[in-house]
Amino acid sequence: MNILFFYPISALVIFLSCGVVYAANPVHCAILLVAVMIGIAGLFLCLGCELLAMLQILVYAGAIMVLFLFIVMTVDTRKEEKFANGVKLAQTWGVFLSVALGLLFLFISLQFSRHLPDSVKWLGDAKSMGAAFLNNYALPFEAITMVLLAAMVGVVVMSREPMSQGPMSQGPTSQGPTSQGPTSQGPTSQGPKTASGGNQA
Amino acid sequence: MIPVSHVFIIAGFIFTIGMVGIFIRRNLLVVFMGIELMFNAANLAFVGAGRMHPELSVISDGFASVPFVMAVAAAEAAVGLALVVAMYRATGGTDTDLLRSMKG
Repeated sequence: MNILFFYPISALVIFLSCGVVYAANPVHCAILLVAVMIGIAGLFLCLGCELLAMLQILVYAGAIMVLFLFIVMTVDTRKEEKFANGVKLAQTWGVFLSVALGLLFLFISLQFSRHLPDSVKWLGDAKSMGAAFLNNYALPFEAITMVLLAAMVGVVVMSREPMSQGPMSQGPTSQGPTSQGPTSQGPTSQGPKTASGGNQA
Repeated sequence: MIPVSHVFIIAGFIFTIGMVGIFIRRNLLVVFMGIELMFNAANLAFVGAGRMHPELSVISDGFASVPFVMAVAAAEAAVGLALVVAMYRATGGTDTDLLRSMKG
């Protein structure tokens, strides 16, 4: 039963991920990537981790890819012409090194001769995962919340700085707080009566 | 009876495809999609390795690592997409060839 679905789904996932890399339109890439995420969730189901499959669909296909599609449709992406500026030397070497790394992965993978058993008691269900996160993995669980908090604060800071300086044509060289600093602190140093003056400026 | 080596081979294929995508694509959004593919390959390898020792009664490190990878991937996607928006504001596009300001 597992083996009946595992190999077709994995072939489909590899085919679709080739499509993610190949498609010229970023919207097509994002939609193909959603299909890849759902296929990997199916692979998790075949390997017996139903909680991880649900998390994969919720987090990746539900949250991350919606964020991706949102940004793809916000910024004006146009189709890129393949190799419009010629093939760079770095691209050639990058592809060469990736294929070499893939072959290394292949040889390392072939060293494992163990077979995954068909029916074991579930270790990836919600009960045992929850117990593990509250006992053995409590400290990494708290640490990952700090990572998410730091990412959230960083995203808010990164995306609101250029907004406070008005026209976007001023470009990347002027930084928000430093250019805003003298004008916003000038009126407030004169006294409390000009506190509303900062809002007008 | 799926051999665990097949799971690792599939994960290696997806990882390699994602890495090739990072190198050959010039759109920054598609580069981030390649990074997401690599995260997913790592997750698949973690799950395969977690299933490798069923005689252990406690939950394995492989299963427990997957939600952490997902959380890091979510944080990376948020920060990366904020970088894409910042780059779009600065240069008017998402092509990586537009990033030339540090070129001497």
